[in-house]
Amino acid sequence: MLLTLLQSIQNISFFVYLRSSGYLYPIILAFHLSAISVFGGMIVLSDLCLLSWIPPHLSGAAVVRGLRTPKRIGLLIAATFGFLLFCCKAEQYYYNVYFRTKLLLLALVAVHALIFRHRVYNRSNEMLAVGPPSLQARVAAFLSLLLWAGILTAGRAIGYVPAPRGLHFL
Amino acid sequence: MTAENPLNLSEIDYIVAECFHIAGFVLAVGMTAIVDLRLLGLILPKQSPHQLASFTALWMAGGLVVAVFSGFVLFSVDPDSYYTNFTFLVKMACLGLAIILNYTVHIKVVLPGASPRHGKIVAGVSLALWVSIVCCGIFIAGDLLHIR
Repeated sequence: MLLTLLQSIQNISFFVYLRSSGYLYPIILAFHLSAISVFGGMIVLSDLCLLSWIPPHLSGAAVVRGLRTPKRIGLLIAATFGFLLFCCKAEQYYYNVYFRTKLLLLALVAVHALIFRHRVYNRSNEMLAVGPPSLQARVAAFLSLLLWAGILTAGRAIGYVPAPRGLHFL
Repeated sequence: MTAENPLNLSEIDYIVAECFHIAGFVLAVGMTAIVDLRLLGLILPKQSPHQLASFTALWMAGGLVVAVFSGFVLFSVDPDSYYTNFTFLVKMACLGLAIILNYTVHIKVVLPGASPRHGKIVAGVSLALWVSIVCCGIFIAGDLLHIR
């Protein structure tokens, strides 16, 4: 049933047009990667603050707090382009083991947010106010870096899996 | 006797080199973008561009070194095809311009007292150049910038 749905999505005329165009699909891919690059810098900076690997003249709490909304916007932009890419070749991605790995890691990022949002990110002021960062803040930062590095690697590996035969592209 | 490039023998080695290349440029582009977005007044209003730039510079340089070195390793697999690829040449031109801009004008516009208007213009150009480099990296596969 899921497979039938994915076949229907990829054969919507808009996605057929994107897939068939020699330029549009790579342009969407380029924007997806550009958004990830900009968004990735914010993730790294935010996590370095939580690890207190920043100079004293920077306020770690203010940076973590200030980057929360830009990170969400960056994720939304990257995810929108990613969703367009997925819809163009939904059936092919369905069979791709690295795409599934990437989705699993993204789900773990959501779990990470659920666990650490209230414990660390909403309390960054008190967490980073005095002394070294708490163990929770360091674990949150380390796991975040690990998960996003995994997502980047899985994302690149997607392109190395050959398309299976008999895909139902219009 | 010529030595065989190990990346031609192992697909895994090639993928690992590509992952380092992507991680390196995400760090370089991401750290530069933070300063550029601050110069444009879009993020972190309480931190000065100079404060941010003095911290991100080292991470940006580290990411750039990793991206350039791994990029050279990838290039070594088939130099002839890259050399004749117009999109690759555009990417190298944009990279050269972005690095020159980053270590000349960009350093000046983040200094305290620099003109915010100039800062915005430089940040816009810098972001455009770095995004162009990422886009060209994708377009190399089909040499899409080569109009036939």
